[in-house]
Amino acid sequence: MMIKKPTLKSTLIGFLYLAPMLLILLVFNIFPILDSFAMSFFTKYNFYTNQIGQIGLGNFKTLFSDPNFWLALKNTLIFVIGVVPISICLSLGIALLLNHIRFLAGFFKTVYFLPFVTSTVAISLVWQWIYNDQYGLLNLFLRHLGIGPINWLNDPKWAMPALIIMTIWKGLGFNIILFLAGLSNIDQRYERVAQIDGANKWQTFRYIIFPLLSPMTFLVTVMSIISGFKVFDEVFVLFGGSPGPGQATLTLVFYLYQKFYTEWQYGLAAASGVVLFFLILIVTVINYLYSRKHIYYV
Amino acid sequence: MKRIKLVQYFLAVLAVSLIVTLGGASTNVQAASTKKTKISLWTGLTGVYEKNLQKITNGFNKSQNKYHVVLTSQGTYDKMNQKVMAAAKSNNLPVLGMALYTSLPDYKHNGFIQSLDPLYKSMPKKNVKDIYASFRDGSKVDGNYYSVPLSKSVRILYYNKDILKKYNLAVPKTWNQLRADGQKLKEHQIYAYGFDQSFQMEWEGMLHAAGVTPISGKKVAVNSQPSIKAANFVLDMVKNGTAKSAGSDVYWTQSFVNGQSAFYIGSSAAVASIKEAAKKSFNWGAAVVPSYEGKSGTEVAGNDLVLFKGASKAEKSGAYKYLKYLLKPNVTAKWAEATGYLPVSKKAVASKSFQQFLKDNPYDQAAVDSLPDSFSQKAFVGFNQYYTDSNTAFDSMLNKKTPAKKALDNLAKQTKTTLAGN
Repeated sequence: MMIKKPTLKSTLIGFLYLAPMLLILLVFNIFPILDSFAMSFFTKYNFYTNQIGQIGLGNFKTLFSDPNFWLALKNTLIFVIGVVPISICLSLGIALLLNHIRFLAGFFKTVYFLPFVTSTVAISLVWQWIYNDQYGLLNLFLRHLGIGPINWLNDPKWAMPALIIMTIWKGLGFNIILFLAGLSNIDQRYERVAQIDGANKWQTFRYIIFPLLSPMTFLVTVMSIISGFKVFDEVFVLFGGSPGPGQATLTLVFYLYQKFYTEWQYGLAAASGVVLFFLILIVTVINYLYSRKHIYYV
Repeated sequence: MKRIKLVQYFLAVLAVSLIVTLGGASTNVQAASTKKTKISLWTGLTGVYEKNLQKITNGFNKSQNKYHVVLTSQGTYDKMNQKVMAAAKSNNLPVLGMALYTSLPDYKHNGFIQSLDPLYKSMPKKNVKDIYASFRDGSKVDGNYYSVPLSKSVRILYYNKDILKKYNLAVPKTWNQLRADGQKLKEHQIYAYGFDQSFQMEWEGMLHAAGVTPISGKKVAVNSQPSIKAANFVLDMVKNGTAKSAGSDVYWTQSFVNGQSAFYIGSSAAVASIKEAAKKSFNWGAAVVPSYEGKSGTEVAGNDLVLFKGASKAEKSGAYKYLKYLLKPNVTAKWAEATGYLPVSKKAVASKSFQQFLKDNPYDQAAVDSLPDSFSQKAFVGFNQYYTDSNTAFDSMLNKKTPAKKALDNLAKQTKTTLAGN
């Protein structure tokens, strides 16, 4: 018998197996989360001696009255909306194409995956050169198309698109691999049946592949949104440690970093972390509710 | 089964040998440390800078039979500051560490550091006075010493000799001359003045020359008439295409080497990177920054060494010895010769070896010539906040075309809130 009825003893043994990981989670994840929740309510607080002088909602009040916080929130939302849909469509398209070719498929998979395994710092440094307004590769290319030089990294209007393009490129490989895994899980017989019924390529995709792929699409969407909300490294390196020209790429995590490491405003930093936490939570819950109606698990 | 046993055997041997080597290593360290008191020092230095401080420290260590200074590089200044924050929180600070002189008031306010008054008091008065006044000012918080200057630089003017020759220009002595040169060079699509991401340090230099202290005590003058006028001086040059920011390149060095501007005002520590980036055919020189409204002022930047709290008595006296060693004229001169930072005392500059060094490296003369007119920024508790706010203000003037008055008024408002909160 493989399936035993859980007894007290077997449950305890189960917990024993889980204990190491649980302990790590508790110490390094759960405790810091709770601690920063608490810290966000400390309005008079010495971070170094842990002396709490006053507790209240002051940090949130300051946060919500800080124009830079709203700018960071706006920028983050623009970033997520800019990155996620394009990234998903592109990676799904490329995955479908890769799934159809045999020749050099492995080579292409490697090529697309390379940016994902390369360090963000290295990538951002290379893109700094690509985006360079005078010597950059991108402007050289655009000039051939008759588009004047764009000052990608120094013009507040173009800084965000520059960041979005780089992030899409970087994340593409990982999403492609996930989609490919999803595609390989779809039983080919469904497609054959559809062909017998006279479905064309588009219909097969629309009514067979896309619905069957929806669990993976859901996973990729949720993961892309969450990592989009957490963007920081890319901004930090691409714009030389600044939040972009005219703060055009000041994101929520960058704001948090500034408050914590540069300005030493620990309570405020914790409060912005809490806001970010709930923001991601809300978006994920919405995602989840949507998925319950529109996702087909085979 | 046999294979599994073999693997187990192999693992056991590996484990035992690991324990033996690690144990052996730790006993070695212990043997060394029981003899001498270990003085830990955290730096943000890498490469040639780290190597040379290590060399100097080795010299100190050899001369000591009671103390042993151990350097640990944290990779970058940013990482070091983060590490210091974490160590302060967990009561795990090293004995000594590098710190920006502008962060001293905040460090003191949070109880990270100890006063170094006893160190300076134990030195002969003339030796203390021999340290350049601007460096001494930077080492003080409310009149008490809290640091020893280490890697110091000032702002200097770099010039492209070929451009000067071609267009018959001279090295500008005043900002007005620099502006006039801009008009001449404009038609040739050459900027007169290139600066780093922001011209804030030059602005502070102009204010110093005009006799304005941006923030002193609770008085905020960042939006005073002279402050706005000085900012507009540079912004007008940017607007009419005679001055340019390095933008996302952060430093103007590369653009200067590529001949995009006749002049570049940057850190004297950039001499090394310009030398490295410049082609052999590139002719350049360095001079003191132009004067503004008849007076000169060049801002000091750089890191000092601080004594963290929690150091034991023995560690403290070892640290004093080490810091005094670093302040010795021949040692600070040696450090300066190797790194391009400034020697911290007049005797060091006058020393034979440093004078010879200047003869061999004429580019470094400008920084030394700037020292009499150099000044340290006046820092205060909450300076870290001011730092972010002022960066944002200058960024918005340059990139969002915010009028200087509006940006500086806003900065003044933010700074007043910061000062009131601390």
